[in-house]
Amino acid sequence: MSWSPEGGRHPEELVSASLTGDLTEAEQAQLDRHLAACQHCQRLLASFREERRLISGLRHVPPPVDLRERVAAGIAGGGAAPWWQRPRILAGGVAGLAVAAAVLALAVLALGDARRPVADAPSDGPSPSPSPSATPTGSFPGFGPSTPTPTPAATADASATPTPAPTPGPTGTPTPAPTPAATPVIARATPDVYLAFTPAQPEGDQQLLVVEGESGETVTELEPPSGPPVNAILSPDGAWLAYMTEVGEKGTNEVWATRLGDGEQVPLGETLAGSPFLEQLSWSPDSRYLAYTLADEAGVNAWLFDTADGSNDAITAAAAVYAASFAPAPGGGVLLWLSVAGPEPISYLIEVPDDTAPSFVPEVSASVGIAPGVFLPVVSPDGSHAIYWRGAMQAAETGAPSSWLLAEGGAPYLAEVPADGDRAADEVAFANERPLFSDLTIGREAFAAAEVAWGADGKSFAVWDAEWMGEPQSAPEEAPYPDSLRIYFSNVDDPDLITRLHALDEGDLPDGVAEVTHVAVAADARHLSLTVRFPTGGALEAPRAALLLVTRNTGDVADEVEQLAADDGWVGPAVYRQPPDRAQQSPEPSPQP
Amino acid sequence: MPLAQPAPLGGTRVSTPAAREETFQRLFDEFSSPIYNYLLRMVADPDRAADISQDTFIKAYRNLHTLTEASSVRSWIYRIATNTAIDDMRRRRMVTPMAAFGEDAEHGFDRPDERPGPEAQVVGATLDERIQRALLRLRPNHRQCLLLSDLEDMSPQQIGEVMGLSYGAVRTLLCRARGEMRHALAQEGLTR
Repeated sequence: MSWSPEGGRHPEELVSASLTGDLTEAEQAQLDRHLAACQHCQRLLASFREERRLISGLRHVPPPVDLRERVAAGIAGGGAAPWWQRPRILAGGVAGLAVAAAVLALAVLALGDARRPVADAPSDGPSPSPSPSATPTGSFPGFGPSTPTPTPAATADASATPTPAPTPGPTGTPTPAPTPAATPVIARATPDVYLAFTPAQPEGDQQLLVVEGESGETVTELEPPSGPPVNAILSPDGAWLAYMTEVGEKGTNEVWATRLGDGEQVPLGETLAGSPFLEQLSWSPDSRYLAYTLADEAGVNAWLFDTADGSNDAITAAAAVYAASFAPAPGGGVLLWLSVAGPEPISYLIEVPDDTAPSFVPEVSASVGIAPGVFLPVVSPDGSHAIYWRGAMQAAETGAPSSWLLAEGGAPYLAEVPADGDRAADEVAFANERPLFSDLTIGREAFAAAEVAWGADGKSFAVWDAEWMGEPQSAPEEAPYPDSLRIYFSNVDDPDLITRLHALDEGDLPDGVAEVTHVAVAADARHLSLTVRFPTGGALEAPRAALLLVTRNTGDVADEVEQLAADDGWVGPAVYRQPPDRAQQSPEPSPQP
Repeated sequence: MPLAQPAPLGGTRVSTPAAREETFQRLFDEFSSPIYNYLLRMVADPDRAADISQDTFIKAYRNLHTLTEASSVRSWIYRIATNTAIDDMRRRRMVTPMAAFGEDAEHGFDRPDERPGPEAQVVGATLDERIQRALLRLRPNHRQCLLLSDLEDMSPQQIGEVMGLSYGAVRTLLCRARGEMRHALAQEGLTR
């Protein structure tokens, strides 16, 4: 119910129920008294009546003339159990996938004449019924190679090379950038898994589920947190899922890690919320370590969770050190970028020791290299590039705990990670540094922060939730640019990187979205999974978010958007596993400019 | 005797193969058309609606034994249809084809938009199509209960039997659905 100007409540539920005569005498009397004095509800009743009239007047469409025969054929054919009732194979590797494919193939053969010809059906995955309308692609739940799920206008297939994000043509219409040399990439449009959160309700309990993206089946049920998940990242081997959840109205986030095979769930810590820099989660290439940042009474410090022994320790003891991302170490080992926030931020590349290391102290402890002026370098999955920030930083509030944001001249940059031999002394000289937003003038008032994520292909990236402090750099009649509600999508091979033309279609988001909470980019570099939050009425109303799968199209072809999962409540974030051949190896030689 | 009447428990309806066949044929004759139309309005795709209808009646045939004196045939068959549609939507992940309906002439700054603007799309579409588009903007459970109420003229109790909800939950859900539909119809220029 909504509030009436007089301070009471509009009995909208009674108005709705009155359409079908479902009121008690007392309720009818109450409604009649209210309607006599309330124009809002009089209009509401009139519009509800019109709505019911329109729906009840929908044209009646006869069913297909062969429906009876099809049903009879289906009953006579019997058939195997629907495909979703067959044993689910999770992280079974290639062998398990082959078994699953064989089972699926046998079931398809058993369906008999009731199937429609392949030519008549869209090939969008296996169908559970004896008369499927689709040709099974052989895709099966689980981690590992799989064929992509085509969308109506998609042309991706299992051997497709990644399609770079479009670059603008002479008329301003984005056209595809030159395709890099073909390297087989596992293209999977749907995310490997996503989270689904149902808050506590009168009729039911809280639930937090990990759901397999392709099938919609529950992988595991987790201990329900006090708030919705807002970030998630899958370890390269697909065994662990790290995620972050809001702690109700407290203004903090909790960090968790869960092992998907057995559902073991590890709470890692609680941190201040409100800054994208505090939401950075990073897995080491060997999937052993998770690096993250906690801002608490002790300050802002980097933490390390070791899946090998379950240890979870702070690795810094300074006031403002953030965990950025892992980098490949030549000859083995693991390197980690840490960033110190301040008026002149600086980043350190350190070795991660096998045992619990003494806390890293900036300017004191040994490091492999330093990058002055660089904040939070996020290295691409293949280790070849990094996106980081430059600009003067300032603490959001005086005194601990506090988070740091860019205060002056803040902007993201893309650069190539130098090979080990290119590092001069202690300083890590990122090569070919370019502003990520090539058409923005970075003045004193620029970015405070933004969310950045690399695609699973290692070349594409997305930027969203951009906090721009300056005046919009767009014409007055145009949409503001940059915009916190727009998602900017590009790739390292696009000479313009990001411009206003690289924003996803504004129509990709449904009306009323309050925030883009999370973006994940598929390995085909053409699909993005967006978690979009809707506004709520306040603390008493459950948080709500939808998970959208966007197919990025070029030219005049609009993006296509599907909503994943029919559930109410909160769905997302989604994650994609990196294709094994894109996992970080030794650094590649920097390409020539 | 119309199948909308509750069947006698342990009666002749399904105790013999012949009775089973007769019962099922009557079930199909009475409900195939309304079930198809309900599903058509749920998924807005004739082929999918036909597939889901087929699956619904196959499941109904296999589960005729679950019909009891206490159960309403109508609620029972609509429950099967609704659950089958939900399974289909979940598998296909095509709950809301938003790109088809979410765009507006004022939101096309990125690139030249040669498609007809929203006014042209609205004028060119029939009333039926516009109502269907509005329905597709709704959350699936809102769409379901609205169709069961306003298209199928079911009471909240019957809707509750189909959707597995209490009477009170159905009333609340219907109110929210009507509110969402009001907004969706306004976007189609059909109401204020």
